Amino acid sequence: MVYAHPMMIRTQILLPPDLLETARLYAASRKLSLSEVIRHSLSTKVKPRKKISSYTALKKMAAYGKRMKLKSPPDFATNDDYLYRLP
Amino acid sequence: MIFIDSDAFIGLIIPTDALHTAALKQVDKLTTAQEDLITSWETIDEVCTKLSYYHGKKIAARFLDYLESSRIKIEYVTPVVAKKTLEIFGKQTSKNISLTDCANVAICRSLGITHIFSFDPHYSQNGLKLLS
Repeated sequence: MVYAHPMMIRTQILLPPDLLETARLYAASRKLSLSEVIRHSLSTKVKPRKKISSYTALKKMAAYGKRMKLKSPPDFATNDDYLYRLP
Repeated sequence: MIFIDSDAFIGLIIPTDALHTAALKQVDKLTTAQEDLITSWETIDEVCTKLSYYHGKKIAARFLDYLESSRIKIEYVTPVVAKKTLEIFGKQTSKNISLTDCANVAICRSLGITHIFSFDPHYSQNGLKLLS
């Protein structure tokens, strides 16, 4: 599988010579470029985090506050003085 | 699309807050509507700072984690929106409206957002409809 993406960013990485050689051989034997091999390898290890719905996140925030038994004054949400540790 | 302000986030997170029950009810209503949600970097800054000062960094970090894992969009102030923000700020008669509030109004206007999940009456004075 070729991991092509419309926008690619050039970067530099450091590899030990033996790993680089192995990767080149692997790529050549499959008629792939070294970049394709690295992209494929990375994509199986580093997957973008799945996003949850906005509302699930809000409910999770509320559940977390309850679980942690967070206590602050009743005007904590509306009083900007708490931004400056004033009250 | 609906904009979420810091009072809604904090009201949700803090069970002892006066806005907690109303914020939870609002989330239930919004869940049915499934509107896209958006907030601003300035709002996140406020929520994080308050949570960190009062409840510690761990709590603030968890808020950021939930936010980052969600589809809530984050809008940043561009130079054009910053200019609009200053214009809006200059027109305010109340000393209690912050530059952050004005930035949120400017963002909403620039994106055509008419509704805000907030309990702050300053927003309705600036043409936004409060959900509450």
